Amino acid sequence: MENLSFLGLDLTRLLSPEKLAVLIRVLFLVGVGLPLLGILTRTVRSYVTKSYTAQRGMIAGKLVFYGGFAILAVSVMNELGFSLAPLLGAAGIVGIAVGFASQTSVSNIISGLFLITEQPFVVGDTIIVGNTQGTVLSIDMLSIKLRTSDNQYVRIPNESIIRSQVINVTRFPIRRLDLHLTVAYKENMSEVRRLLIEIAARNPDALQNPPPMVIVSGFGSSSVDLLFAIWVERSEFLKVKDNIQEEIKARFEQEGIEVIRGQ
Amino acid sequence: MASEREIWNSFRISPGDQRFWKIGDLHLWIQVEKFDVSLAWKHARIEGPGEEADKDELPPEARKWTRWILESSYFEFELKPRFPERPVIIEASTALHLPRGTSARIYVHVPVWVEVIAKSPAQTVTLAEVPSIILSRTWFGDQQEGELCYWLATRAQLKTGQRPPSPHRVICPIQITNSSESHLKVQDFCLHVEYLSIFRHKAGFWSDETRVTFQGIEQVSAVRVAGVPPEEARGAGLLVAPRSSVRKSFAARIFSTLNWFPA
Repeated sequence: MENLSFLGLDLTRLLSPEKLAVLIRVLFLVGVGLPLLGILTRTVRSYVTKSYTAQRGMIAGKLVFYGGFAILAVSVMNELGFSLAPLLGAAGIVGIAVGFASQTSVSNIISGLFLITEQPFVVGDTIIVGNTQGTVLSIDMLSIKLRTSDNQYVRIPNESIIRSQVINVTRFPIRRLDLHLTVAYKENMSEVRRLLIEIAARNPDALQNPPPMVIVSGFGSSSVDLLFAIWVERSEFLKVKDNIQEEIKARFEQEGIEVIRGQ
Repeated sequence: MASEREIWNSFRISPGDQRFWKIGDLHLWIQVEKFDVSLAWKHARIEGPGEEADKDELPPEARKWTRWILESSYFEFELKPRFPERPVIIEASTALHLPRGTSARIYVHVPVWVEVIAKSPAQTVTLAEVPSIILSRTWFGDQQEGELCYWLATRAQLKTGQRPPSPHRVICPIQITNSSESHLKVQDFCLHVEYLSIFRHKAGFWSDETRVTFQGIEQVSAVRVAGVPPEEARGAGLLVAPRSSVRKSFAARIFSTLNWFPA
């Protein structure tokens, strides 16, 4: 082999045939392995999402990616001549040091595992955490990501989720819509009750069963407090909330039923 | 109201023309231009004897049209009756009581969905599927195994001919047998229309017979779908195949139990 030099370095000596072969194998592992891993991850995620749920697809994709990446990293290190035994030993010592320094991150990772196994919500659910309501975009190692109804992107650390009360709004296919009404004492309660039940019955989006309910929930200083509860399909919740209140206002005005405000 | 012959046939509309149908509560317009087809519809119930249902047969300008761009200027259209895409809960106005060991055949008239199909030599496209009558929704079953259904209040008739055939309803014969050890009260029950075919017979539509064997309130009922025209419509031709692949027999909860929902 002819002598090759670059910046005064003898490349012929540096790139011996053995080292060149190692370099080629490493480049091959990285150059082919990483794109292949990406394709495999996407394929598995897509297949599992179609066959099961988006949540399972996301988990399967992450398992394949992180598993494949670890295998690839070990193979590359093996090719480069690193022995894994001292590395693992060093990792133990370094791990203790890093562990102390990154308690929050570790806590988030472990919390993430609990979220994935316990499944209080899955990707696509709408949840309320504190004052934030949004649709779950992803459940990642350190945090979950939400998209709010006004299209904001919210990141919440997994540890906060585990510590907080989480309301899953879309867990069940139907929801109860509670409307609190206050009418004057002079009104005939039977008539008000009949009118409200009729409004619910005429609304095709209000479920017939479980039946709508009108409950006298209390007596105010100048009004009778009513709870009007209607069951609706979860996807129709806001639509029914909007149009049934409009209908109540129109019918109360039509029938001359006095509503007491400012209670 | 249009007769069965006038509605459920293939027809052509020349470019620049518009046609109008009234099917149940559905008012449907189709308008054809050279390369596109537009549809508009609304639902209007006749509220009282003095109110005319067809006072606005011309669609107002504000009405929302759905516009389709199709490949060929040679269009042939077809309106086809379909069953709703969900099961229908039949609520009998008067409960029927079946002592143990007895059987009853009842007939219910289920409103159809109207499928608008455009055909050209190049393609066949379903442009819309619209209910002829908007049915309320309801929930059937318990929290774990329930499902969303449509709800239909009807007189469950014990013989045919009590009600004239309607161009927008399918007569569904149901044979209920009480093979349990107790009486069966039939107030509301679930009719799985997604497994039923529609047959054309003389002036009306018939579905195949559904045979339900009640085996006790704690057990699911055995359901069998005939797959052929009922004896009342012998020789009827198949018009529409079932929405879901035909399951000749299956087990399902057909009769409702006590409400499980908390107040």
